[in-house]
Amino acid sequence: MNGPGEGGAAAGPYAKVSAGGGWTGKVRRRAVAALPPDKLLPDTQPAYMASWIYVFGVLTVASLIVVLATGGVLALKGPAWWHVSGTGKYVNSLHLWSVELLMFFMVIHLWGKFFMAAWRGRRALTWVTGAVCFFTSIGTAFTGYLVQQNFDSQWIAGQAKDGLNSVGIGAFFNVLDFGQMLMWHIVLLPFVLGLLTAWHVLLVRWRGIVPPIGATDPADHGRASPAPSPEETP
Amino acid sequence: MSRGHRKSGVPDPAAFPTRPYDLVKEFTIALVAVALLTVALASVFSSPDVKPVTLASWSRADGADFTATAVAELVVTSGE
Repeated sequence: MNGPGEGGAAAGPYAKVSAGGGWTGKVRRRAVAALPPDKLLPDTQPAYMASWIYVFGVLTVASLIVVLATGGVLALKGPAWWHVSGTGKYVNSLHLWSVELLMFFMVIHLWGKFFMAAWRGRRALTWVTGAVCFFTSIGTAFTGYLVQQNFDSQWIAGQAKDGLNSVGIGAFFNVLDFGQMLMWHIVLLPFVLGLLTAWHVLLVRWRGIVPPIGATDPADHGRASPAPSPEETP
Repeated sequence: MSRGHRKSGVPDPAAFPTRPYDLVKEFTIALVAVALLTVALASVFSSPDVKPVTLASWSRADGADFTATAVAELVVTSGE
């Protein structure tokens, strides 16, 4: 049985979407053509996805939501709350451990996709947005260490400033400025990470999950999915 | 195989046999599982908490020193 759930071009009732003119109509036609509802929220998946490795992407997104929720509580209560309240310290612990889980699941997801060569089949942008999400998460975590409001964060900032000054960005990314680092940690970087994650997930839905290396196309007998060529390596 | 997939040499995922799949259910289960795992890990391992040095902690630890410094600040005799 073949289903419309993964990959492929828009078909069936969504091939020609009725929409008015102007920019809005154009955007709607293109959006629905690229991601029709049964492709955006599929109720089938390719049979080759029968492996636990495919679960780590959704686990990463779930962890990110727990990180944002617990971080939101900490932000509302203020940066000193967790030092003076038992509840605050527990919420801080929830934030810390959800970040640990986020990084753990994300790295397993990264390894899985690396060994699948998941950038094949015009998926380079999916791979790149995922990699940028990874590096943005590391930066966001590091700014979290800087807003602990204790000698730990002061010492870490003292070490980090030398490295950042040496590459010329210390003037506008000042790790010794608590207020600036707090804004990076609770506003700017989470906003960027949220946008990148949404873009990454939409790209995954748009291109579909990459078939395994060596998988043959059922509709094209004997044609195998080749190993990634150097040209396909991002 | 669509034109784009033929060009890249990688088969179109839509060409493969499929099986039932509930994306929303999987996401919900993942979210609940991660939330419960976070609660368990936070309960067992907590988090490091190096206390900050604050005016409150200074005044409690050495009230006389805090008072003397504060008075010196108020009469503008400190730092001179």
